[in-house]
Parts: sequence; C-alpha cells; structure tokens
Amino acid sequence: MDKERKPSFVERFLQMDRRIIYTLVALAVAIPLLFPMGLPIKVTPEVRSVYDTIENLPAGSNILMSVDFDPASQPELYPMMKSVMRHVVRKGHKLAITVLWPNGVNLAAQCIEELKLEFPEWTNTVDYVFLGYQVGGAIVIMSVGNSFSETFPKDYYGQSTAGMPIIKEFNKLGEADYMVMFEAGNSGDWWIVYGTEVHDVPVAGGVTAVVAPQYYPYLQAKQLNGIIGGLKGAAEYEKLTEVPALATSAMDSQSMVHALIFVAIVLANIFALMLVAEKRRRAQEGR
Amino acid sequence: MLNLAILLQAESELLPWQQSMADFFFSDGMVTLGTWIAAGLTLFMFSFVYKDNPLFRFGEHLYLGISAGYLMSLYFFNNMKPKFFYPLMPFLDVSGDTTLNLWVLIPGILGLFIIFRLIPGWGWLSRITFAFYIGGFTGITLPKVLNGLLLPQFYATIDRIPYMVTSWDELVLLINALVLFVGALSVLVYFFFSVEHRGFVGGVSRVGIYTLMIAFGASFGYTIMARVSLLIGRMQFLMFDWIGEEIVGRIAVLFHGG
Repeated sequence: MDKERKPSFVERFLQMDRRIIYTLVALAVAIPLLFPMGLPIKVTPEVRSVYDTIENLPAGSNILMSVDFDPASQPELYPMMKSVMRHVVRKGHKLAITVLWPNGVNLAAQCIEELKLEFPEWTNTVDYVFLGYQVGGAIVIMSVGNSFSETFPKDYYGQSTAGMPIIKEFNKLGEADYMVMFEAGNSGDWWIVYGTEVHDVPVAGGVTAVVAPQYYPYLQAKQLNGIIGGLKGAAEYEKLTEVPALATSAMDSQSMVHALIFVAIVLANIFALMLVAEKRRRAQEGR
Repeated sequence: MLNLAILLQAESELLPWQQSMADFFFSDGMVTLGTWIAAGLTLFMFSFVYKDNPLFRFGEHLYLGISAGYLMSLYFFNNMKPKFFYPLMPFLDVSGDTTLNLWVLIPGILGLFIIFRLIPGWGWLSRITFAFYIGGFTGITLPKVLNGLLLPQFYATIDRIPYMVTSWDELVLLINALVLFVGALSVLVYFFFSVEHRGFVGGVSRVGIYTLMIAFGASFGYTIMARVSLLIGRMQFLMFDWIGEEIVGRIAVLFHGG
C-alpha cells in the first residue's frame, strides 16, 4: 500500500539530485565574478595585527617568510602571500624566504617574479634572498636557528648564500624581527615549537581556512601575533594594503555560496523535521 | 649511467641547447597551450560531479604521476646531488665549492637500509635506520614540545582570568576566560575514561561533548570556506585566464545591458 504512494513534496525535496546543488553553487560562484557586487570587507583584529607589525617596524628590519603550501592551496594562500610580500617590499624591509613544502618552491618563485615587475629596484641578495626548498621539516627549522647559509648553502637560483650582503646582517632565525609563515598543514606547529618560541621571534600565520581553527589556540596563548585565515583573511590584507586583487574579487562569490549553503542547511533541517512529523502522522492514521 | 652523469653535472649557466629549450617552453604559443591543457584538465576533474568517467580518471592519474616525478627530481637535485654525490665526488661540482666529505656515507647507508625493506630477508636492516631516527628525534623533540607547546597552552587556559572586574570590558574578558577554562576542563574530563561517566562526572563530560560539537561546527564552517575558495580559484582561472578577461567582460556587459 505504502509502496504505491507517490512521494510527498518533502520527500522529493530531501532526495533532490545533488547535481542541482552543484549547479546552484557553480552559478553562485560565477555570477558574482561576472557582476561584482562590492560587498563590504571588515578587517578583523588578528589580520590588522599582522599589518600593523610590518607597518610599524623600522625600514630595513629583517623579516622571514616560510612558504609551506602547494598548488592545492594556491587560491587561498597565494593572494595573501603576495599581498604580505608586497607590503614588506614597500616598507623597505629585508626579506628571507624559505620553503618547507617541495611543491611550494615554484609558487614562491612566481610571486617574487611578479613583485619584481612592480618593484624593479628590489634586488636579489641585497634586499631579499630566496633560500628555496630544503628537505627535513622540523630539522630545517632547528638548523636555521643556527645559520641560513649552512642550512641553505645555495639559494634557489644556485648562488652561494655565504657571501651575500643580506646574509651578513640576517643569517639566522634569531636575527629576524618578524616572521610570517604561510601554512596549509602542520609545519606552522614546527615553526612555533622549534623556531620562534626558542629564539623569541614574533610570528604570524597566513593559513588556509581548513587549518585556521588549529592555529587559533596559538593566537589565544600569544604564541602567534596574528592570523590571516583563508581567502577572507587575504581579502582583508588586500584592503589594508589598498591593493585589491584576486582575494577581493573572490569575496562576493564566497559570500553568495555561504548564503546558499546556509539556506540549504536551514531548509534541509526544516524539511527533515517535517518528514518526521509526516511519518508520525501517517503511523497514527494507519494504527 | 650516462643519464646519471648528465644529472650530476653542475651547471650554473644553461648550455645553448638548454637555453633553446627554455626559450621554446616559455614562448607565448607554449604558454597559451599550457593554459589550454590546464583548463582541459580542470574540466576533466569537474566532470566527476556529474559522474565518474574515464576523463576524470585520466586527469587524476596524470596528476599523481607528474607529482611523483616532480618530487623525485626535486629531491635529487636539491638534496641527493649537492649533499650526497658532490661531497663524495667533489670533481662533479664545477663551482668548486664542495670538498671531500666521507661522513655523508653514514646517512647514505642508513637511507639505503630503508630501501632494503623491498628485498625479502634484508628488511630487518631498515629497523636500524628507524631506531636511529625515532630515538634521535624523540630526544630532540620532547623538551621543545613541553616548553613550546604544552606549557604555554596550559598557562593560556588559566592566566586570562581577571582578578577584579571594574568595567564592562573586564566582565567580557572574565566570561571569555571562564568559557575557555570550563571548556578545556570538561573536554579533558570527557576523554578521561578511568572513571564512569555518571553523576557529576557525567554532567561535566556532557559539557565537554557540547564544547567539542561547537569546535567541530566552527571547523566545518571553515572547511566549507576553504573548499569554496578552491572552487573560486579554479573559476577565476577558467573565466579570466582561459576564456579571457576581455571576453568575460563583454559577456558581462551584454547581460548587464539587457
């Protein structure tokens, strides 16, 4: 008897083909990219803290960046890395860049090349050194506590690091005035435990949204000076540096999809409760 | 052997044929071709949302193969070549920066032992390497983790509780600190299985479950944000790098103008 019954609207809604939802998500992403709405971006204290620290350091301060992500996290972390790096270059700080994830090397190199087009006077070996990738993770971090030039005898471009002008002033983690790490995994834990806590260097994390909750306890414990979380954090940093780019343009799409998912979760829960009530009513009628 | 010899050559400057290859691969035509290949592979991967198909599987296997090959070459040129082969055979390093260092044989042999796991009857040798690695790393790690992770996090759970509340801000701070303190403690009680979770302990443990659920909810929200960001990144690539900013702009104007 029950098998012949046509499914109710509630049942049909809850068994909706998932491809309809995929299509709606695709439209929610594509339409705001075509027609930007310019929704406001509010800067959070943890992102402002990173900006303020870099902004308030005297020109020529030593900054270390670690690029610990790969192309899988590029949409989130690349815009924020470029934005932070641009800020560092604009303020005239010295920059050393390390990579702990092998597939992150080319992303860091690409970012440097793009910034060199914006700042032609930004000079390799004098204003910055790109130390490249080194295998070892936590061991590399402990080793840069002693010396960059011994841990990375040659830079990414194959030049010997020992004689570089920048290395004469900035040759170990302890000489950094600030550190920003870009993390898609747990290498940030290593930097904090084996690096910045040992050498008392203030550090901030530019992290993917997936791992952001893992890093907030460090912010609470003041082991991190700030967090730039996900694409939203990247957009906030772009707003602070007044150079809107990829992250800013993505924020409308992000908000639209979040609204869509919010509505979908609320509707699905309401309909699930309605289904329970419907089944109960049907059971009572059949009794 | 010939391939190995070529790989071991240290060239700080590109040879003429290498320069020609580099010029060819970075020419405008090849960059455009690369964009088309990337766009095609992106669409192959997206095709999975409709249903599993051979194009998706092709893209998946291609990615795995290329990643493995790239990582292998990176490990060889960044590590094996300068840190193992050059110290053993300094004449291969044309820059002349490397001197003979036979000590590298020890980590080299230990590394080789791990590969012996593939040979039946010789696998036990790998245990020497793992024992050395685990023992050494544990010794280095333990005090640093205690000082750098456990104790600071422990202090942070209790040191925010203000002694006096004289303003609205301090009251908010007190509430935050108490939520953190009670949350941390109740989750610890939830994971303490030596006492039966009944009565008072059961109640505290239940608060721990709610705290965990809130944490998982926050984590889930962040995960959605991350995944959507990845989709947006690919859409930006397809719309602006592949189709082209100009064409997309014209489409937008077309619709906007009605």
